[in-house]
Amino acid sequence: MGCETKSFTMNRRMLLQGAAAAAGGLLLAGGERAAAQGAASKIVAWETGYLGFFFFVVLQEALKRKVEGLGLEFVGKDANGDANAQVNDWNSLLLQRPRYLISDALDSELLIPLSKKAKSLGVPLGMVDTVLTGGEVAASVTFDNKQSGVMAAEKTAELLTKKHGSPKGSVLNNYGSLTAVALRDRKDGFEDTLKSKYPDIEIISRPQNNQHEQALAVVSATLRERPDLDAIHMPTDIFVVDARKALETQKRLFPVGHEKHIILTSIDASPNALEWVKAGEIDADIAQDPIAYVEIVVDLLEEYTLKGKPVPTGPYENKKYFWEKGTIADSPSGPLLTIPPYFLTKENADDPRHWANVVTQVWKMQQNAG
Amino acid sequence: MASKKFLLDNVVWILIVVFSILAGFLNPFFLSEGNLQNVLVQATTLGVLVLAVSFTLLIGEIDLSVVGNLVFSSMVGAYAMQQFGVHWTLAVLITIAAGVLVGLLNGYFVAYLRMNSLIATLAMGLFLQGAVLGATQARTMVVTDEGYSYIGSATIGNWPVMPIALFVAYLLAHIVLAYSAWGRNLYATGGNRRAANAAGINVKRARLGAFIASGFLAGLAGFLYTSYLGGVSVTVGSTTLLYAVAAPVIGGVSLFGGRGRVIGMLGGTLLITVIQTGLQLINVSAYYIQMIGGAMILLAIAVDAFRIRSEERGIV
Amino acid sequence: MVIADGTIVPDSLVPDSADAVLTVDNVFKRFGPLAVLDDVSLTVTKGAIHGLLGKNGAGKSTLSNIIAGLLRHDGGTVLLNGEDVSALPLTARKKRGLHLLSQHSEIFEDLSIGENLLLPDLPRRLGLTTWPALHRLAGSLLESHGMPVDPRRRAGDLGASDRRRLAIIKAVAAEASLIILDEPTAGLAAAERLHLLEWVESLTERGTSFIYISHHNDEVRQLCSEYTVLRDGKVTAGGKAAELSADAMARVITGADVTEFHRIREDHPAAIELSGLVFAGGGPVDLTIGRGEIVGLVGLLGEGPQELMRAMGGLLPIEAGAVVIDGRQARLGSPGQSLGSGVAYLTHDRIGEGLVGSMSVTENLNLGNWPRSLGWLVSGAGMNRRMREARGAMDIVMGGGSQEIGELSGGNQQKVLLGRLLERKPRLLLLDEPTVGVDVAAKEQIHRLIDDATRKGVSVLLLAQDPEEMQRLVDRVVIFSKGRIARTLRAPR
Repeated sequence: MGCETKSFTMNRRMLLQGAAAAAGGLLLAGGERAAAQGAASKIVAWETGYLGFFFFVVLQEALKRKVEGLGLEFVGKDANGDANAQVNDWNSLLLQRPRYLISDALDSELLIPLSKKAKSLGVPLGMVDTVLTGGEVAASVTFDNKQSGVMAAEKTAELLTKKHGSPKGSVLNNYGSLTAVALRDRKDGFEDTLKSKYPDIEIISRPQNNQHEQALAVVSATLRERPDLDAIHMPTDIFVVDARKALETQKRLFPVGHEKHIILTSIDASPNALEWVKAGEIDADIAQDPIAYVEIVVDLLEEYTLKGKPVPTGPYENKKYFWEKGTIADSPSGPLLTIPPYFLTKENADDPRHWANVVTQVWKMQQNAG
Repeated sequence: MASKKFLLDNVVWILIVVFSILAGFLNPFFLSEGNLQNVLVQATTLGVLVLAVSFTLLIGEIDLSVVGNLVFSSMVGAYAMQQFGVHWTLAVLITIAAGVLVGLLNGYFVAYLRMNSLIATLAMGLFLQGAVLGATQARTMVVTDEGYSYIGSATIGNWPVMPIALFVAYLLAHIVLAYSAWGRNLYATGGNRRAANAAGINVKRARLGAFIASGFLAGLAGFLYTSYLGGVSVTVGSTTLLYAVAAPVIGGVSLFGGRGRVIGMLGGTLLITVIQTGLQLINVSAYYIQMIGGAMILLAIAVDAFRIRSEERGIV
Repeated sequence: MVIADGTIVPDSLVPDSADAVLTVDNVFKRFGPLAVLDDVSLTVTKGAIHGLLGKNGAGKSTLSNIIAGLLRHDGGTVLLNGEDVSALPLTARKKRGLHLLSQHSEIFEDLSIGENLLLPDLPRRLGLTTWPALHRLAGSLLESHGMPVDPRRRAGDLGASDRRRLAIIKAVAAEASLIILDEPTAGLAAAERLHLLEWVESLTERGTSFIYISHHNDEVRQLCSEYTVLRDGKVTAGGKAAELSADAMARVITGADVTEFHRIREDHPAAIELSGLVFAGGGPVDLTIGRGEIVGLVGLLGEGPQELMRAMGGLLPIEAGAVVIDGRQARLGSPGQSLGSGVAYLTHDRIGEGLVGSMSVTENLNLGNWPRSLGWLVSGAGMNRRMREARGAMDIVMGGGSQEIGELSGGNQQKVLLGRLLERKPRLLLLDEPTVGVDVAAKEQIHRLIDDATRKGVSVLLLAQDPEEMQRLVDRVVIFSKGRIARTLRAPR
């Protein structure tokens, strides 16, 4: 690990709860056996739903670095977008009886039976990003995707008010594939907020199916159709390049503050977005931290599950990350930490804790190849 | 009778008009000049891929590696610019040369080693896409060179330049396929390989040539794609490949070889693009877009099957 | 009856309609502007074998397709056992006992003989095929129809004549009242042909009627009790077959007197030398062929003559030896090389190896030998010029050069193939069954074209099953046995 490792702090109540749980015999016998067996293995298994986009590459890289930093061995598989392949991967990884299995689900339902199988085999599970809607998961870490959409909507409304005097105008939401829960939540958060709170803002809702050529085509067509378009929202930074390309081709790319500037908001806060925010080319970007996902899930599994303790619920605090505070709640699949979204702004852009800065400055990884 | 045959032969164009009017009814912008530009720009990469697949369909084979080849060849071209700083014109040639090389391999496998083209090119496509994934680690290779990306983003008097590439490619393909000796040899080979061989045509070379042409066009599509998007990433959709195979069939190219006109290939490309852009612009819920798109293509193929059946009924 | 020039008045025709299994009444059919059947009428008597004669393109296939329900006619009626079936499709007519067996009788090669016979109504229990019952049933059917073979054998292993028997038994077993046989003896040796005909005749004793389409006039005279001749879509003759002489029959079919063609035989200076030629399937062969000479090759299938031709045509590998043409050694590694060396092979398999069905007549004529312009483009004018010349020289009957080749009759297709080879200006023509599936008139023309070519100095190797064709054309015969030349016979002057 490039970053110094810092054990996270917990308040007293959480500790007490944990102790009480242990004392109360809430620990299942199976869990103890699992811990005993799993601890023998040095292999940490990882199954990612899709490696095709940079975000997931970072997710995998973060886990790999974390695991190797702990002196463990990393084994990874990629389902390449195929939920069925992911099930197969899980099965073959579980056969190796890893220390624990961490995964990003393509389908939140399909893997539930397997989570029970993992439990019976004594392999603890950690889920990140897209978590399960049920089953037996020792620790899950996710991001409040819906809230990020809400924040982007509020920001857009605020900027439109600044421009027109009142919250009105038109905004293109070029949403992504709706089979991904995260993207669906972002779309709902964004569009529902505008619809319910700002009836004078017109939403042009058009899909890009997670494809660059479609994103470029849709933004281009919409720009031609609507010379008066005020704002564009992209559900992930991955496709902001296409929106920028469309604006550039039609000579409508102007910096923030320019009178002809088209408001541009997005979610992820990737290294590219960090540069755009710094340069004043994008109005707001909401951060989703892939590095925190996997680091925290590993910490929780090592700290609690492998020691035969359940992950305690309650507030969670960790100064290592920019957002610092979150909450671990009980979910149908087990304890779930939801990381709160936050704005990446020109002012906070240099904070080394942003995942974009970790990737570029500590890992020396480039988002754009070459 | 003759007019009925004319109508059926050009059914793809009729469908384009019908779908356009339908989409225009739901969103008037669809019938504007701006959207015509949009349709033509979107049709360019697909159209060149459709030509690539068609060259192999004409000899009764298929090239399913075209999308993998597109990604691979454009990565090679982008790499040459980024790592060795080659001039963009040379990079274009390198991109296309990489495509030709892949086509040469495919052709050798199919024509000389007699491998099944369906499986061989499918595997080649998987290999190439996997190779790009490995080489780029899923990162986008951004191409900033103005020369290289000129054709994909430049406009002349408000009109994008990109569709010119589409029309030039189709015009050349038409000349080559309809009028060149090599083109006629391809049709003969696809129509009846044994007869073509007995007539003194070097069938193996013709078959190799069809795959080289396919690779060349996939490389060209790679250049156009990268120029258009300003970069190359491994995430070109698998639907692109399906469209590239469906479009020629919609345009009347036989899957068994020997039959198919270039104008039909163009019609198939435009029809699919019109359906795609139409669905983007009318605000259909994304949950249904795939379904509607699939149904439209099914309808087009059904009309084509009807055309073939009524043609056959006349002659015994 | 409609009477045209050179027809025979069929006074004995028009049987009682109660006796008729099929009555075709004033049937009319056009393809575009062209009338392919013009008021055609005929009657098939119960238990009769009715010969249907005519040149290729006369309308025989169209008529049989209309009778069977594959094609819809534009006017007139078709009565089957007194019922008007004009509007019914093929399957409905089949249920009423009308079966069409085409030239390529469809059997499933990889299924057993018994399955082929009983499909699709295999004996079943609980939805599963009961094999013992199937074989018993099929065995007794085969036995009672004079074809005692094991029903468990693979159908693909049957010989050509047994395959046709199987298809016919299948139709008879389905209680057919009328079976249309399209060229059932095509490709059969003389002895097999005779057996098959006798067997078909025996089936009529059960009351089954047949329409028999054939190019072999002698067969029709032997076998059929009644006949109808079509020429250019019209009925030109009909009646009892026994009343017709061979010459008269040939005349009504072609519409003109067939002038007997006689080849003048003379000496031929040596021009082509085969020495020690070893090829896949035979050799070594040593043979000298004279300039303008026609050498007939005789031998059973697999004994070498066809393999020799295909090897020299570049279609089979040559392992050793040499072919010297006018003192120069020929390169024969591929069809392209052979053609380049002046050796042209005419295939026996016109559809499979000769023509490209998806291309036009003109393109088939120029296939692989495109007239060029600018070096790489095909000259449309050049192709059309060749087409005009070939059409004139060979009397090819067709609509236009842009017609698809499949629309031409077999004889005209064969002329296009021959024309393609002659355009290459060959020194040696290898003719493998040059008149297979071709009508009398076209056969005559093709023989003349071959003779004409030899007068211009082209040498010919000829392989033909038809002994008459051999007798007429060849100057010398070489007999093959086990891949080598066993004997040479000179034709009498």
